[in-house]
Amino acid sequence: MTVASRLRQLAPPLLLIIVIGLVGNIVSDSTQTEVIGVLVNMTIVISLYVFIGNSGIISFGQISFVAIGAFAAGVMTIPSIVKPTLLPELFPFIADNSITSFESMILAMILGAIIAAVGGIALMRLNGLAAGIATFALLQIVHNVLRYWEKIGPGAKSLALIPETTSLLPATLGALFAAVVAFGYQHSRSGRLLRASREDPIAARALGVNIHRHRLIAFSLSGALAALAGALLVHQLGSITTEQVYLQLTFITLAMLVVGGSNSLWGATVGGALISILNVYLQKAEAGASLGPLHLDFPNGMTLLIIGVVMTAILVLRPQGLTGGREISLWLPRRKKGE
Amino acid sequence: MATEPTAAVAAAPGTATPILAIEDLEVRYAGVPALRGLSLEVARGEIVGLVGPNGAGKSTTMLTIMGVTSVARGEVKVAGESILGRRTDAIARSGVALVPEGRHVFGELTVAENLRLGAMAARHDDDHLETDLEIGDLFPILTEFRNRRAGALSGGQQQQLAIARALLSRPRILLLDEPSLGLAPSVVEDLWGSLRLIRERGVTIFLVEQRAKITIELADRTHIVANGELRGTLTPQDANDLDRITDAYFGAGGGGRA
Amino acid sequence: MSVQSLIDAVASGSVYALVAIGLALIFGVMRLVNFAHGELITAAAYTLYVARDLPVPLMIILAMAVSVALAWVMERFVFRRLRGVNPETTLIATFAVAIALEAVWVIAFGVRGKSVSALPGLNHLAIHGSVTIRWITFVELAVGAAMLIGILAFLNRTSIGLQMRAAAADFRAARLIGVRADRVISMAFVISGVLAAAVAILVTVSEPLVTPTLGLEITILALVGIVVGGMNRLLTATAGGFAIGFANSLLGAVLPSSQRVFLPSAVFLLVIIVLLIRPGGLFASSRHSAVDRV
Repeated sequence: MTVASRLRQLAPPLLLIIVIGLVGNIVSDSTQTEVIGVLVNMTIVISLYVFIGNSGIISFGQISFVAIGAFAAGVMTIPSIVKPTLLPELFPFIADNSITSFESMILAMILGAIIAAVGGIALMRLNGLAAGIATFALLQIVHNVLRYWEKIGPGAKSLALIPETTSLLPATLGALFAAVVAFGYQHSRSGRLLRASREDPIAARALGVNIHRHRLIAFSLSGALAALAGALLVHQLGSITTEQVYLQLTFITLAMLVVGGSNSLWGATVGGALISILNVYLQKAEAGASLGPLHLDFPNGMTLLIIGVVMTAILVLRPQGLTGGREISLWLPRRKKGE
Repeated sequence: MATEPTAAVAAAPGTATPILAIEDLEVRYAGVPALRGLSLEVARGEIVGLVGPNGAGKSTTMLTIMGVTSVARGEVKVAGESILGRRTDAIARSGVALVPEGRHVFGELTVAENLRLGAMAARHDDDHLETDLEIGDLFPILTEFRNRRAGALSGGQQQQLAIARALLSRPRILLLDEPSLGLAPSVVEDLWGSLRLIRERGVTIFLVEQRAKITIELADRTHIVANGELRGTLTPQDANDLDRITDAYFGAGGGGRA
Repeated sequence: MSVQSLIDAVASGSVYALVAIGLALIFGVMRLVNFAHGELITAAAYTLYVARDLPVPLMIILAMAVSVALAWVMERFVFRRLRGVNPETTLIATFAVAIALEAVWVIAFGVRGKSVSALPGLNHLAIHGSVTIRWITFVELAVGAAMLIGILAFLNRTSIGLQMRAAAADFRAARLIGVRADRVISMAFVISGVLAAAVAILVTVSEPLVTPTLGLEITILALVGIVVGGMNRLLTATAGGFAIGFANSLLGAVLPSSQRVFLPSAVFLLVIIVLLIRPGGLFASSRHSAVDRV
């Protein structure tokens, strides 16, 4: 692919993110909060895509890295004045130091990458069902540790008093960054080899492709991006509990990826946007809201039900997702010289 | 009876409805044609063979008859009735029994259990009832190994089991997909003897094979298929005529009625 | 480690084995990994709540009926269309169905638990002293063993059981010799519905609270158990389910109380280790593992 055609393929996801960002700029403050939420969700889905889309392995464990990123960034950015009172059990090096939000994002990414790499050395050896279950086990372990280990976190309480620094610009930039990294990876040699060996792991092995190594690269990259998303998330909410980064988020973000199309960045971006927006409206309806001419008062749980039904329908009727798992290219009306 | 070796041989004696009729069958795998307008008939009591090089469309023909593969165009009729679009298990229960390539006996189940499964598919109407074959006479080894796991049998024995299992469903026609695959020549000889016996008892047989010579010797008519099309038809007299066979395999002949 | 904790572990194992059988049957005939199996358990448990003023035998029958009906509906309208899809994709599809159904329970019954007591008498102590055993423990063991034997007998002695075993071994070959695929699959779902109801009844005796997440929590662990045990055969899958229930209970008793909150981490770490050593399953023969590892 030429550079120009590659850029044309990268453009649609970037443009979608920028458009959403621009919309967030012109709406009311409360709506803007929701737009930021959509952008953070999209970042999460893109991080999921980096691993799931390229390796073909359904991982239930990527949200673990969102959790790790969120908690690490959260704990490290709580002002040092209040930290010891709030979280008395912390390891000294955590309790005594505080960093800025931006630094915490770098920290989160590094931590996410390292833990993914270490865990991945073992997990990436597995195929198919065993891999899915193992990633699920990872989710359970991270959830359990973060919930109860008071030397690194708040324990069963929620982690609070985190500076709320994720405004519209950081959220948009974060999503753009994730998209560019994801695109770069899928066109890298590692990404292409990984995709090729999806179809037939045995044949790939016979040809000397080190599937394990490339999976590990994808997994670590995915872990880093997911952790970044977690850092963005925690600085948006100002607080975090382990339940917020556990099964429900896993379900919703997987739904976003599946509905959009798990095989392409465009699919991840579209699915992320669509389901996030649907989620926002459904949550509003659960709280009792007027949406245009309709007044809706959905019972609690309706959001999950509707998203669950949508996801199931897509899996049954169009398993490759709304985008068919394909990238689209921006069509430029003017023919360039020499094309 | 003199026959024209290179011309297509007349399909069926008299006007009886053929047990199996394939008309202008076109099958595609992901857009690539596997069968291009194949037509042939098998009359009651005949053994008809289909041979050809790898990828010619032999197994595709069998799978299409059994409803596993879908059809782009054409017709498949059993005793005059179309079976297109029917589910595989319904086709199997209506008197078409396939002995699949690679045998596919249920290795974890015993010989007796495998046979029982075959018998469960038997129709209970007397129409087209072929015969009450004594499996014990035909394949005595199966009686001896009744309670053994099917997976413990040798290749040749598994082939016998697969055929016996198919016969127990009292089929109108027995289909065999590469029955000699992976078997030693002496074993194949015994197998061929069994097939002759089965035909003598009145069962119609349609088989596809890679080994052209032994099939031409066995079958009343053997059609050659290559690249999804019929290339010619041979009879047992042609079995030793190497030129004839090579011509048919590699000749420039197009499709035609058989 | 006391005799007490061993007995409790065995009882817990039996309950998980029952869940495992239901999951393994469906996986066997359809290659479907059914996350939503747990919702059958929750449905049966809520039926016990709704029918709580009826006589006990009627409660039990209703619970079974609801569970079987829900299983049939799931198969007919969702799972039938997932046939032939690879197991990893069916895993998320059934996960979606499970979450959707969980939401239905939340809408219908709220997030807080409802109390149920189907057979409260069984929660009384049968044996006092250094070892305390409730009647329910005996019942769990007995029901677990009885159902396992019953299902094995069904599979080995009946015609439809034979067809199910054939379909599980080689689905396409089974259809080629006339096995009615639809009938076999429906039968598997009916049986799994009955098993789910049994689990609901047993579990609510010792923990008489039904929450929307009841079934999913049990299923997650059982699912992990059957993959660890070996999904491809009923016996190895059931053994895996038993093993994980057993390990979960025993580890809980053995860990010092300050560390007990980390029980899930211990169990799941064990799971990952086992999967690395034997990805085809702890009890499976090694010939099944060829494609499971790179």
